[in-house]
Amino acid sequence: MSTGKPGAAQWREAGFTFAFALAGATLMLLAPRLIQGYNPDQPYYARSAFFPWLALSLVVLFGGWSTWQAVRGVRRELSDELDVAHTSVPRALAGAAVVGLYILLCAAVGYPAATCACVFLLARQTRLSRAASLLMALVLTATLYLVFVVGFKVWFAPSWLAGWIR
Amino acid sequence: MTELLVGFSAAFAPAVIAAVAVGSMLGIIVGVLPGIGPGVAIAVLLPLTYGMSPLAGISVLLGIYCGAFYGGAVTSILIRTPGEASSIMTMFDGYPMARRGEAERALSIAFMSSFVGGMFSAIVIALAAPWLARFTGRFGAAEFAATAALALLCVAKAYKGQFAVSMMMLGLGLFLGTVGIDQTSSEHRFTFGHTALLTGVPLVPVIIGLFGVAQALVLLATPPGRERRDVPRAGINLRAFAEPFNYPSTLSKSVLLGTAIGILPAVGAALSTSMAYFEARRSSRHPLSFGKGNPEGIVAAEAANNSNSGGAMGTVLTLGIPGDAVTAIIMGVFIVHGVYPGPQLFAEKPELAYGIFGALVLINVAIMILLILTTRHIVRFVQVEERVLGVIILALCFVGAYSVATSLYGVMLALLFGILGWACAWLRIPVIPLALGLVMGDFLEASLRQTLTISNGSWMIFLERPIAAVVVGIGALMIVWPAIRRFLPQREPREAGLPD
Repeated sequence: MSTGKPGAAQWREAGFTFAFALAGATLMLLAPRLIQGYNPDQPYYARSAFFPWLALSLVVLFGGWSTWQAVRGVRRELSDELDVAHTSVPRALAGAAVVGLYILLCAAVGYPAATCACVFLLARQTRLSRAASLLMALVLTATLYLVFVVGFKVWFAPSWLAGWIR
Repeated sequence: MTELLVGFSAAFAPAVIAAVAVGSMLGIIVGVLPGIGPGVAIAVLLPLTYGMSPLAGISVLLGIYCGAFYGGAVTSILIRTPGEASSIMTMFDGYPMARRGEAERALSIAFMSSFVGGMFSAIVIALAAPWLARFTGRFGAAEFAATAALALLCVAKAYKGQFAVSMMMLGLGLFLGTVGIDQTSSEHRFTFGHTALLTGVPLVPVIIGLFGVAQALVLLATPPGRERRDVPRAGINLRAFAEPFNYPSTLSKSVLLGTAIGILPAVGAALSTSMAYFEARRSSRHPLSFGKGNPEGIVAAEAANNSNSGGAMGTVLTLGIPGDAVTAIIMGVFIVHGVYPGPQLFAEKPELAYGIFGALVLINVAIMILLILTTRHIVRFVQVEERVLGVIILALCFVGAYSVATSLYGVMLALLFGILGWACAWLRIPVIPLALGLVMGDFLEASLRQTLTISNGSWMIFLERPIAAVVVGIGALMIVWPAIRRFLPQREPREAGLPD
């Protein structure tokens, strides 16, 4: 860890950890109301809010500590779990948006069509050519369909669009 | 001994052998592929194991876990790109050897050293597990609660410079584990009236999101042009297979170190490989040749690296405590199959407990056979574009998360946790503590509430029981150690640890 004047990154980190700490504190306060059938007349360790309280107190305490560290300009080391150092934020968000679309399309047009469309979109997003993207979409859709739907018998609901047309 | 034989014979069932072969091949490929590690592959392929028997399902995932250790050496040696932190030490001597035209020799030494490490740790832990299980069998709720808490503390402490955020994420994971029906009181906790939440936050979509979707988003966001790699042609040199045995002292020290460190939660293979490497260099008659293509460096690093797998599985099976993300996911497979690891597993299901060690032995043999047959072709996977991999992983994550409950709810959760995982990486926040908290939450809560019920709410029970008191003492020492260290006389700084 290194310290210095807090930059934009530290303020972002502080905002994130503060949001967690605040959410944790709110849940701690509201815990009895958020537990259906909560019985406060038991010994503290038998109450169903006891362990959530312990867990949330870690979130509040260490979320607060992390916020304080970030505001003081303490720079945390990069996590070695995922290397995001050279990645583009808009592209990652666009990828997540395509998955969101995938969920909607799957309900609307069915799994194979949705997979083909979304893999094509994702492949285009990675700057593959149209032909290569189409080929990848067709091959991947066919493979996934054969492995999961035919092989592992994963059932997908029929598309509501097909039902509506019928 | 009879149980050991029963377990090993269970591992020779045709379904398990097929699972071992498939998992090992996938693991080798995953180790070679750029940008993805065994955690991602295991998370994405976890739903495939639902239809299998517990032993076959776990064997597939263990095959991926161990295969990736072997495969990781390929990229370290050939293109100086370690896929995992634990492969860094292999790179220091492997890459210079590849540069001077000895890639095949370096790969063969690495594979044989890994093989010795993997076989040794699987056999030693299989023999030691009954003793460990007998010891942990004397544990009561207080000891289990204290040990689980210590393991979680170890995980948070393992993130140097990120302790506070790690503890925050651990708390979040433990909290998420409490959502749903409370098993003691049957009260509905934090369900907000949603029936889907009555059974809790499902582990598999969370794991797929945190590790699979987040990794895919990172790969998709990789700028073009970063993935061009020139890979030297390389295969296997059977004569070099015998070379690790030219360094018996380094080989034996490294496998012992790797196995011992593998048992400790959260310490990880990276520490064991670096300790083994520097010990080999310290005790060598030619320390200056390390980092310049000394085969002994590869022997030390790879033997220690792969011997972690047996130790790590020993801790999961005898204590029910996972030490890292991969073993946490593997423990999730146990739970999905209704099997709860811990000392009772050895008494109740010896064929499964010992079968896992049998499968580990088989996996190492299968990997060696597969490497001899396919290394020349597998090295081409190094050239796969990271962004294309991202697309494939996302498509696999979708169907994997869907198939958990045949519902788009799983996919939505996976997407949500994927975005969280990516955002956390961007904000330098580790997510493995969250996953471990979620996996361990139920166990810790049940043990803690049982302990406090026995003691009528007194926390002194943790100091009154000797084993629990020792565990609590270790935890307390870990917390106060940084403060104590400030008052200790500082040693002279040693020479820089890493080779040039």
